[in-house]
Amino acid sequence: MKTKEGRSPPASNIQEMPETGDDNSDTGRVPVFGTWRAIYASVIVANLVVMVLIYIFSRFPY
Amino acid sequence: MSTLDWTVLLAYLSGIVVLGYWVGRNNRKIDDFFLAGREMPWWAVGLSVMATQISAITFISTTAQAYTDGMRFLVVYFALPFAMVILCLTLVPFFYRAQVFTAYEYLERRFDLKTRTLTSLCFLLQRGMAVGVTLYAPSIVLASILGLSETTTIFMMAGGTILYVLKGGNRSVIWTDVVQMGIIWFGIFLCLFIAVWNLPDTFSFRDALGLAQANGRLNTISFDTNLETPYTLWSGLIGGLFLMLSYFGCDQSQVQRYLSGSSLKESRLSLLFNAFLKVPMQFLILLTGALVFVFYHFEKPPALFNPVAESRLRNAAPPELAPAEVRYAAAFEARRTAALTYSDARRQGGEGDAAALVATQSEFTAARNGVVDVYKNATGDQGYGDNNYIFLSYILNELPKGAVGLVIAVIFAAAMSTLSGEFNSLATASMIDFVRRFRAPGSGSDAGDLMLSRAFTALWGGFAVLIAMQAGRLGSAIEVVNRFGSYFYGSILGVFMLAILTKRANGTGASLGLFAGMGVVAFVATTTKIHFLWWNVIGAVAVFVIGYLISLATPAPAKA
Repeated sequence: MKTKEGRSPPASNIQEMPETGDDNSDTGRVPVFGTWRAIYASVIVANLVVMVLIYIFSRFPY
Repeated sequence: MSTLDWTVLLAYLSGIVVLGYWVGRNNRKIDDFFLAGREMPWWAVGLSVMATQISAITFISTTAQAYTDGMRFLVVYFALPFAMVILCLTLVPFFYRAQVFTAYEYLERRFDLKTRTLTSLCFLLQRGMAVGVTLYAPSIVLASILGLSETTTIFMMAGGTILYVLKGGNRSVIWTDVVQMGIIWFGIFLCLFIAVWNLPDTFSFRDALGLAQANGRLNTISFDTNLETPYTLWSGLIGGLFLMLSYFGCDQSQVQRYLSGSSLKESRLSLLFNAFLKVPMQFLILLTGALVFVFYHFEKPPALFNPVAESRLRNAAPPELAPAEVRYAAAFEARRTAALTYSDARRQGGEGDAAALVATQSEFTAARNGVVDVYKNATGDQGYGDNNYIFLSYILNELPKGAVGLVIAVIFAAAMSTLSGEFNSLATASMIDFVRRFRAPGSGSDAGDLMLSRAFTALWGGFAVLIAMQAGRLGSAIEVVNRFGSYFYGSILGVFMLAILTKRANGTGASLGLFAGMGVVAFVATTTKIHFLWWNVIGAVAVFVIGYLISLATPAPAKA
């Protein structure tokens, strides 16, 4: 937030932490995954799967 | 390089400058220049975030790392997707809803002016010097490989980038990053395809992986818990998490990219897009390096990958060179034979003699080091190292005409996409955190601010060129700059942690905590051998704990 002069307001006010999770989502559906919770879960699961696959790749008896 | 290769490279360079200039032609206000009018789609911002992170030297040195040591470096990126989720839930909504231009602007609202100024100054110092290194490191390699002067390659990379960032600001940065990232992805697949294609006819992809594995070049995940061991799973997951949180959450060069999203949703999607793609991309780059290692079992690699050093050695022609080269040639033949024998045995269902294979590799390495020692003694260049020349040497000597120019263009694209984001973010921090913050209220106009922002872009671009051109002479000063960056990353994350996770912390605690954190990391770095990935954890925790304790001992902020 800016004043008319383009300067930041005085620094004494502490910003409250915005709520997290789906309540914090922007309007509109999340493409493909539907909800923010689903996309976050997908990122985490996909990363874990990738890590396991890379481990298998490095140890597979070629 | 052939005429066709030069044509491809020059077509890329001129095309990217024209594109950058054209997309940024309508900038009228500072919002346009720094945040692309906050109207960018998520996929463009996502590609820009990715392009800013992958620098030329990352491309060159990670392939070399896989070639010489294996793929362990990959673990650094394992924590990136987790960091992206955490940032989407915490800092990104903060920044977006506060409508800030810089990450440090938020710190003034949460703490005070001195905390904002201090962190922004740290960013300018660290990033301003680092951008010179970002420019210098690939320029010396490209100069040597292309037979140009360092000054020429510095100006080829920086000149074009400054030109379009100056005109179009962040909008030009993002759209050129999109094209550059497309070129980089294409280049990655091209290199991988050619690395497989260049293998001997009788040698399958599976044989290649078996050979790389037997030599430890597919090693990726180490469960070693020693803090001094580089790139273990734990240092990657924990240290890497802190590093990624700091880089993507507190570094203006990245924050500015996703603040350009047209909504919070677009900004978040841009980061999650990276979360899905970054690890696979880095895996493919490292795999290319491992396959180049396999390829050089069947095609004798140059003993010195730097062609300028090779030429100096030939001119010096010391008497020790001939026997060293004979040993090198014999070691290559022995390694080649062992590789074929090993793979034949594996194909027929046997185990293969991995120990013999590794022994020939050790002898080959020793023989190459013998030639390197001859070079060092003949020229006095005791600090010679050529890991960063391996990949480009392979590109230049083994790729078909046209493809060489394209892959060199990929290296330029990687360098320019990083430089453009850095020039723009340095100008933003200078303008927003200093000029606009400290000048008299009511002074300044849109047109004047835009002109000044362009002047800062040119200034930082010029500064980067100056540092790059002097880098060879700065020597240890460059190392100090790089170390300072490592001290800073975890520590600045600690300041943001204090801001978000506590209500009691105040500006005095955050500012003094930042200094204390950097001091702790400097102490750890100079007195122990703890791997640098852990420094990020140590810095963040030190700032958080010390900053919080100082806050408790000083007056509470107004609303605590």
